Amino acid sequence: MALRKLTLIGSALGLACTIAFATVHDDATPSAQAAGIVSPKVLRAALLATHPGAELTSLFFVDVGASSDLAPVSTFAHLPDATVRATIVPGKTDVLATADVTPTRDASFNAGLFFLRPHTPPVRLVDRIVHASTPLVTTQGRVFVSRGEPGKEVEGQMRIDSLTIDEIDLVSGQARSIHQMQGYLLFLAGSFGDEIIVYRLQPGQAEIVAVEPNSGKVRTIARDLPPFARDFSIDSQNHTLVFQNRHESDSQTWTIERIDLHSGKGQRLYSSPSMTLAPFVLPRGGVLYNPPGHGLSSLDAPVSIAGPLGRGVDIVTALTGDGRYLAALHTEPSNFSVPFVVDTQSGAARVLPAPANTRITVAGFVEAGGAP
Amino acid sequence: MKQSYFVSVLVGAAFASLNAQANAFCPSYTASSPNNNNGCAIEAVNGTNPTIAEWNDIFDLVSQGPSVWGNKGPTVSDIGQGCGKPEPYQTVPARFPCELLKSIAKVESGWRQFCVPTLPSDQVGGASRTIISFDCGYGIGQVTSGMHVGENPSFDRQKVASDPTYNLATGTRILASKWIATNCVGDNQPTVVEHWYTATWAYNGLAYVNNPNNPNYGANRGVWNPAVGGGAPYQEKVFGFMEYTGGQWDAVAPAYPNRGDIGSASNPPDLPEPNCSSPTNCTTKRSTHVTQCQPSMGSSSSSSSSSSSSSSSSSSSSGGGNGGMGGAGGSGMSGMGGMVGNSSSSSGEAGNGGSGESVGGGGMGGAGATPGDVYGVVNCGCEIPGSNQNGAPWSVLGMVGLVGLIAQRQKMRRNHARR
Repeated sequence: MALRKLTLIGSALGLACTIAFATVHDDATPSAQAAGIVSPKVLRAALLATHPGAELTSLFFVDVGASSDLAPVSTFAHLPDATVRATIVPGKTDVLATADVTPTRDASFNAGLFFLRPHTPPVRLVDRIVHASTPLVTTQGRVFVSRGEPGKEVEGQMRIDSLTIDEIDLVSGQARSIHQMQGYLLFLAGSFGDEIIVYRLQPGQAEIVAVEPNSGKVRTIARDLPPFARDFSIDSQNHTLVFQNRHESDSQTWTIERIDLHSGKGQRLYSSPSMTLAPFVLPRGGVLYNPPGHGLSSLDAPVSIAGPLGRGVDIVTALTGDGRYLAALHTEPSNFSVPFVVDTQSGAARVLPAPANTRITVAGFVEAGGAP
Repeated sequence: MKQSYFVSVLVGAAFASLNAQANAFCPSYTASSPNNNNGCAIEAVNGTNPTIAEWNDIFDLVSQGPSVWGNKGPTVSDIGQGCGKPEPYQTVPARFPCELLKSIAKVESGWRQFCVPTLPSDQVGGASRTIISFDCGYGIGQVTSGMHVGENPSFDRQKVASDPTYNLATGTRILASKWIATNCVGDNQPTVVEHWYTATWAYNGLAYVNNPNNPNYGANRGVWNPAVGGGAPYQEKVFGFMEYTGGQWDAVAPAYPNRGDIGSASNPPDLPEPNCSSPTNCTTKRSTHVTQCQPSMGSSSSSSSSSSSSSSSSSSSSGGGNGGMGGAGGSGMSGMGGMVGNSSSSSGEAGNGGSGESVGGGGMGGAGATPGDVYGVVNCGCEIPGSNQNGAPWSVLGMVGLVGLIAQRQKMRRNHARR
């Protein structure tokens, strides 16, 4: 009997290793990443991996500097080839992920929200989530998602949908709408103090508002923006929002904008023909961006980062609580992205181990010592 | 308890991934199915898919429009051509770039009219028959309009279910209507692949989810690659298949509109001639392309060129002759026996990606290729996780273990029987 159990476990482990352990990036690391070690201490990131076409996505906790000891801590099911987004609950090992779950021809609101806790069955909390949208978790652990229902189709006209920002109770799974709009998009740009910053798009109207989630009170920060804004980040200390947009009249010029979240006053930081500037503001000020032909670099940040992984565009996805380390995806068009970590003090970068040939989502850093 | 859950999930996920290529997702919500909850009106029909070569012939025929396909498909109304840049607007017989039809069909059905059903439960197995998705999308073109109970369309619904050529031709009716209903791209030339950008967007729905400026999509996604997948507007997936054809037809690297010209108005505006090398890069340029499948449409462009400029396409203003049936041979269905087309192709139906219930601390999700529903199918060159060279020894270890377990059980049974 003991032999049978041993054999069974051995079989399972062998197959599991086939799936996880043997697929670690060994050869996908761009050349410049070895420029220094980030930290001798364990720095752990939560990332999700999805094989092309797969109906499953797995969550991994990976240590910076680890070689290939990858094993998934959670796996959840979704539609084939789903787009997956995720974020970690600060100070915990819980991850919230969105992925396509509802089979519809129109993908607009086909995603579901999953609660992932290591070694525990995933819980699907709510559906009707905006396709490819990332849940927002505040530093207080409050969870917000963008949801909607399709409006009526009119031939030749853009459809206007019923959109909401909902707060999700992770215990009960109950959703509570804190903001509604008829339009194209409600995009969660971040949190600022007790407010949620939302990029709103309606026909001919793009604006940034702050929503106080308890009262639903809306404060307009900036209106009449060109409707091309993306890649938002917030510097809470200096109360600014940084993002990319298009020039107000020149369709070939793209800009990095900074807006004061109190006054709404804007400042243009950079202009370029490149539409992949992907700016990111550090918590104590200073903007990183991707100048044409280079990777992540400093625009005005007091850090020495200069395209640590070479050509490509680096998308910053997470920061440690102390702001020292950032996680990013090194992206090249039409290819799998490569997750990596940068020490903003030294500028040194290191590629994170990840399953090969998968689409990677970095949910954030596992902090407060929460070993899974 | 936690340990047993963990082990069981490991086994489940691993086993599911080993079967990842065994079953291709295939719904067939046929009219008589008790699970046909959306009123699909027509019964599935037994059949096998054309070969890749036969499919290409079918696409090439249908792309030339109703004036060429004759009674092999329904009628399609004329469409517009010209947008005053410089050609004045006029109506011409409907025609479509074959590259576009091939790519749309890749996204919609993975080039399958028939398959062995895996859904609904009462239809599983048996003969290969018509793909019918839950919303009554039939066959290669996923034709839904007119296919529900109570609808009375002007086309032959039985043929939509049974005949790939007729099905595909029927699907172009919707595409033609979207071309008519949307604003111009460039000079609105039906023979220019890229001029179908907005019509293709509308084919899936003029929703913001398909706006290339949607901030939920990757900043540097580039040309959508089916071997990578990931989020992108519908029309970018279609255009991606034109470039990544898997060797099934001649690739075209289409130009993209500058997404800086596509705002958030109440409809996608008139767009200048597309010249961007990708949806996320307009600093490097591409030319537009006259379709390679309409050699006799009256365009002055070489049909074999894949980089014709817009100026060449605009010369097709005469409406062109209906260029005969060249290249359309084999479009009939009589030769469909034998191969099940896609199974022999590189894009193959790689099957489901593991059990949907394998959750928790389980193994890495398995790769699949054409599961999901029939629409939105993405074929890929994906592999079962762990099937790379590094994984092989672990696979062997696992399989040896399982075989050993089975052998041990049989031995115990024999011993038990002897006792």
